[in-house]
Amino acid sequence: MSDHEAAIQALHERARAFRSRIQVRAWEQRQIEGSKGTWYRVRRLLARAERAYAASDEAIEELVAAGARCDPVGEELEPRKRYVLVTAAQASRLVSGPGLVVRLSAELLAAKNLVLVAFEPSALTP
Amino acid sequence: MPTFRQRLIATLRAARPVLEVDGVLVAGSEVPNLLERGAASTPPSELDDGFRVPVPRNAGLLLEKLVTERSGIKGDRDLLVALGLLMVAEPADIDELGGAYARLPADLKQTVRSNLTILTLLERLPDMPNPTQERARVGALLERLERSA
Repeated sequence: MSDHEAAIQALHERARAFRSRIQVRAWEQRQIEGSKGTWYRVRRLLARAERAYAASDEAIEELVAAGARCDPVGEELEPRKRYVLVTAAQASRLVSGPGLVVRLSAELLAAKNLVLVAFEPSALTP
Repeated sequence: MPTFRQRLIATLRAARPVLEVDGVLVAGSEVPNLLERGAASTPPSELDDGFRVPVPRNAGLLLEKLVTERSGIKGDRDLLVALGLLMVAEPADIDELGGAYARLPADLKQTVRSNLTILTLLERLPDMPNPTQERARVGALLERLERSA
């Protein structure tokens, strides 16, 4: 095989690998609404939170009774979690202190219940 | 001991003949240092003696960093470079980024948004922008891109 033919073959191989990556990415995109997207949805929820607190069952139930909503992504995890995103005012009666660092830590992911204090809307205005 | 920026500039000066060739751009992770506010804010970046370092537009480079899927420390560092670019971005850069993002196919838009969520949850690395102090800024960009998705 000449150098020219080898170069052409290498280009074809790169193009094949590129098309393969595109197909894999398109497949992943189609799965995003299913379990493939669970971690994205967990991260997206945490991205909205300025602070996070591990909370008792009673605290979560009190927030839900007051109108807060458990984020559905908690139902996608096993064991199931209850994640509630609330305003600082809503959280103030139930949690205090520095809370947990908002990142994908073992500590945060191990918490059965999380009260997530949302950023103020003004903080998220570009 | 020279700082990173001093060493970077010395390297760029040494490469000056190459950088003066039309079409050559400096596009690596050193770009945020060149775009540092008060040092040189618009491309091509101009150093103290008038030597102009050709760099990509902020929005294009930022989107390139966000649209690339990587993992591990290399991936984290790339996202922190994106954060550095975001920290020096002007409103016009964000508008330009939004326009470029809107033209991406759905799967690449998802990659961009996914990378931004990762960036909001990263820990601080030495000598890199501190992501824990910029979570709201990244969240604001994420909200904006979601609204246009």
